[in-house]
Amino acid sequence: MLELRLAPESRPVKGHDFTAPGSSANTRIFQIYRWDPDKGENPRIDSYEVDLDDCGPMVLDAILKIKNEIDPSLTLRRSCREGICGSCAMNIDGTNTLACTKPISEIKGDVKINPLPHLEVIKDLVPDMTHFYAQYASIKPWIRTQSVPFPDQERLQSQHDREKLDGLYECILCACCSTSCPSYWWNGDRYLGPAILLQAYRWLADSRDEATGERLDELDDPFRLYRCHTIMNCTSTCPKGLNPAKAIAETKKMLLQRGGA
Amino acid sequence: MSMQDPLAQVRGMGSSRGGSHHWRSQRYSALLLLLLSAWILWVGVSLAGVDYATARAAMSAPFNAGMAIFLAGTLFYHAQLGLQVVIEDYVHIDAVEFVLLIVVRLACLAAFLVSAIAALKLALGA
Repeated sequence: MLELRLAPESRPVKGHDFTAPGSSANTRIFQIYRWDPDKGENPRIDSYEVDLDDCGPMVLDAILKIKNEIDPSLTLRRSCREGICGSCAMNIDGTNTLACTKPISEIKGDVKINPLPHLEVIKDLVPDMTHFYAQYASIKPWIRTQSVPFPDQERLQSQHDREKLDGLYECILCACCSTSCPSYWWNGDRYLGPAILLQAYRWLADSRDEATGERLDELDDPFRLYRCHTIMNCTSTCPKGLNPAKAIAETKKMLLQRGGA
Repeated sequence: MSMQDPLAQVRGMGSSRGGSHHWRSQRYSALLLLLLSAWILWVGVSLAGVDYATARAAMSAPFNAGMAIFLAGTLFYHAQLGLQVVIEDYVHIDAVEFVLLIVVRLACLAAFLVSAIAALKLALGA
């Protein structure tokens, strides 16, 4: 059945407080979720005071400052620091987003940072993405064709058809949308979730792909696709400004067209 | 801990290839309910204040009786579809889910039959 509370061993408790050295007036408290699988303890929320006069503008800058200067045991994923790799997706100030593109100045009060919701935590801010990536693999996210291309040229696409991929190809698979979706929380084992469904539609919308029928067959399922109840958390949280809910609606429209009224 | 490959877990039993029918039926029945609700509201307002015999006579007219049965059928069909989604969303014990889905179907069917018999009784004057 639906579980409304976390299991007792998963409920965060108050952790350590770290104050900033020096006497700067421009400081901010960062409350960060910590959990170490080797310690067998409950997760805790550690508070770090950070001097913003000596820190970059983004939340990732502050987290890295904490890791480098205060607590090297803090664990997180990050790579590009410019919103293109999707590694530093986490829940900041109650919303899933990328730490590298989230300005600290947009947050009022203490900055609360948690791992992406409803994924198993590996350590601190690092969630287990195995199932998410397996779901991505399951939609066969590559071009599938029957026709034989000319040997001396690529498969062509008109400008008009290429424009249909705008708003889809930009997805970086950070999983902010899927992990903000209550349907994905309750039924993520079978529901593909907004990120994967947006990627699935990216191939349905591609004029060069020739497996539209098979792709629609695979999606025509009460759980894989139709657990989307148009809650729209995905669209409001996407750090790239994309609209997975629209992609899902377009997929449903395609299935409606195919089946007839 | 399962040793099954994550992709095998995701692929599971495959696609049922049947989700769109339920979704389509839910939308069509919702649209029909909008129209039928407007009709029943209009009937209710137009019969406000009249005596029992007049109201009974109005509801026993073939058109009104037919519409009432149609409304009951659409309403309980839509309710069954909606409750099915809620159960599938939140009940994750297979046996409980299965029983609840059957109970909801039977309850909605029973509610429709009772409503239809009541409307027919009124129309046929039994």
